[in-house]
Amino acid sequence: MSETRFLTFRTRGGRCAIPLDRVREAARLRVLAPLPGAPPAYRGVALVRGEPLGVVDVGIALGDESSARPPDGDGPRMLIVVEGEPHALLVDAIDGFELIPEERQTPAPPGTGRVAGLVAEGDRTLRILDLGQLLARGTT
Amino acid sequence: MSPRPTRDEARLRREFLAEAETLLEAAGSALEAVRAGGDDPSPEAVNRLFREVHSLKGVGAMVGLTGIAQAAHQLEALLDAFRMGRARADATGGAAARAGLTALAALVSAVAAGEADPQPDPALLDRLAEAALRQPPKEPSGPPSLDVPPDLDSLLTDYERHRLAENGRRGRRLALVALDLPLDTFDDGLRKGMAEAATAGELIGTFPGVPGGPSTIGFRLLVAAGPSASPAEVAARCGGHLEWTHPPEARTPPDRTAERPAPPRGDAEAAIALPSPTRGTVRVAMEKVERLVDLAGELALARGAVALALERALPSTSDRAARYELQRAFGHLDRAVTAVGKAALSTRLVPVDQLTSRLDRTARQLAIALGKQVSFQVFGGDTEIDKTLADDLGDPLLHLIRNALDHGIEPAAERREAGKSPEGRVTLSVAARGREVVFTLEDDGRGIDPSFILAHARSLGVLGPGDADPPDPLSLLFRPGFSTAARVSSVSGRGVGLDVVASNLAALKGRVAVRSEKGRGSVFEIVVPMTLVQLDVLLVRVGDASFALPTTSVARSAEPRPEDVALHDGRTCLREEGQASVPLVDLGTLLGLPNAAPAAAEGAVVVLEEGSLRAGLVVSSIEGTVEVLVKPLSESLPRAREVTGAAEIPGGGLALTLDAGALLARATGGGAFPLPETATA
Repeated sequence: MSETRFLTFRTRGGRCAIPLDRVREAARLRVLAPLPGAPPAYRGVALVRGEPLGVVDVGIALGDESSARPPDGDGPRMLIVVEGEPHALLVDAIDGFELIPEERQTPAPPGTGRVAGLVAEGDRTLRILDLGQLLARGTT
Repeated sequence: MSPRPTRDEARLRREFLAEAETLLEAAGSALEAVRAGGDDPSPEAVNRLFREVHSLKGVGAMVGLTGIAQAAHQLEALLDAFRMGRARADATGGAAARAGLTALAALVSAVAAGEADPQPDPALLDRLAEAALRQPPKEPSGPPSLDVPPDLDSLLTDYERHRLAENGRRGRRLALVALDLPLDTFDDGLRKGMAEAATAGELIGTFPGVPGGPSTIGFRLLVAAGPSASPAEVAARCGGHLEWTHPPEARTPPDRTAERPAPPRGDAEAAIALPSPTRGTVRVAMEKVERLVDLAGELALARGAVALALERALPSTSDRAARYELQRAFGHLDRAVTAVGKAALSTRLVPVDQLTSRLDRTARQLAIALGKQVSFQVFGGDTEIDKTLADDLGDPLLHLIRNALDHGIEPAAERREAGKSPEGRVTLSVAARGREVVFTLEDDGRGIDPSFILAHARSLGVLGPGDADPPDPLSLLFRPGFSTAARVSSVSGRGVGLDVVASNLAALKGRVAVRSEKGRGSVFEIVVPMTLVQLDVLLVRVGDASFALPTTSVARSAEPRPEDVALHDGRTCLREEGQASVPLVDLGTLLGLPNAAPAAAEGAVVVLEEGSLRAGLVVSSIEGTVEVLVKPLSESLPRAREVTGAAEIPGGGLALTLDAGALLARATGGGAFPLPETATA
């Protein structure tokens, strides 16, 4: 049986997960500077430990919500810094670490590029994100 | 190439000695901690000693000191046997380790005294090997059974498993402590928990745990409790709760066998002799240096905020004496902050010969591998550049040197026929030019034939049938997909293009140019900024967003009256000296910011000027001039090409820094922007 450790978090569209080994750290979103010329899901640039990172709003990238919502609206939001990337993901809240056995994961149907797999959770679905697709240059 | 010891070898030796000295000192203190434990040394101390000796082996081997590498290897094997419980780490074993370390210190001293490659005494190597074979007494009952939680069991390394069994065998109480830490401060909490665990007993390992809430993160510490603390106490000290213990009852009587015997005294062996220290330098972790630079940046920001506040407050202060005093005091502060900034930045600077000596060595080896006679010389090695820049420039420079040796310099016979000296010449000169540093790599080889480059570009499709010949054919060398290597060589490989060099340099905000003369040789010039710069910028706001413009490109700023603005050739322009000469462009619209208000006459205007280009940017407001530390943005972030970096600004905000040249190109209607600067003849 093979299982991978994931970091799970929430956006307006529901629960999502990324492999824990791709996570460098999590931080509260503080100051954000809008980034001219970037696709809509890029909310801007934030400094995390002095390093400027491109902030990708997961809700917008997945098509769950529009960029009309202010990036820091509805209370504090969290940044997840992706290991080895100049990017951080902007999410509503972090749930924690979870082991998800492979047999619970269903491959995402074709055409859902940024989602690698789905996990049924009662009447809801947790989405495992494909970070490569999500952060591919210019597509988000 | 001559075989005598070269300047770079002498430098390497010096670097080795400084490093070895630090490692021996740390190993010495770890050994004292090991021996203080008598027949039952602290596993943490054994581990620490093992790591230091392992590093010493590495640095010795790297500079070709085979004797030191061999002795360190044998000592490392003994220490590994100690830490994994394969050999007896008792007083006899400890004495052998000490003899090994003393011998290593003596070998390092011999290197310091000028010996080329001092060798260890074979009897010492035998003694270390023998000590590694002294097996610990066998347990009659075999390893104790510890009902470790199954998910933890699957995560244990061999070492952790060994320490777990060893502590269990000694009857020590084991505790798995769960920590639930707030996400934004968890690293501090974890560090503190780990330090407490190490004080209260032995910290065997750290594992992920389950967080208790949406904004916390979970960890688990596996700890063998010391004789004076119960598992529950250990958990409390670490700031967590007890998840598992062994044995299950927490009320086991204290374990007397775990008490340490008194450390042995009056040892006959001499204290470890350290080589005499190198004076005048101190090794500092890069992160401390970066912290200092960041703090100096914050100081400059605070100074900027004070300056802005003073500018506003001073004119309305009626007390002339106080006004004068404030201005004078601020002048002092201003100079001191500038000096601190420069001093902090200078701690990141290293002489460039740390880089060039590596290149020098590689160039010599390459020439031998290629069977060519080449003299390689470096000038200006004492020029100072940013440490991270020195690290990142290695690859592009090596690429160019490789090309010069492989493709530039001809074989000796061919050179003779051409009337040249049979020995080729390659020189690398380094020079500071303002805030930039210039690397010039020159060879006297066969040169690059522009007609060959053009023909090759056409055959590869780099130039399409409809494309005209560029005025500077050599710039084609830096285009992706262009390679002139007609054959595959072991040195230059399959001719990976110079485009890689150009893109490496672009990432460092640098550029490369080439000129060449057929039959006479080629010159490659690399120009990079000397360091991450502290920059004087004019802060402007567009809506809620702040942007920073380099003051060197700001001609003036203005709040124009309606009559100052006129239409000229269909464009809104700012009148200057009665002429409608400066085109006005809304900065928000130019950058494509959403909700940008294109009210050309209403905001403030910043007139940018670079070369013959001049344009006025309309912004919501002008905030003033401050000094900021610019952090460049990664090349892979999608953005408008005018955006270069980000900087913290007074008041805790963040501004994006803009490139004046790119802004002007777009604002003056150049439309197509110049490609990233790669090649000019």
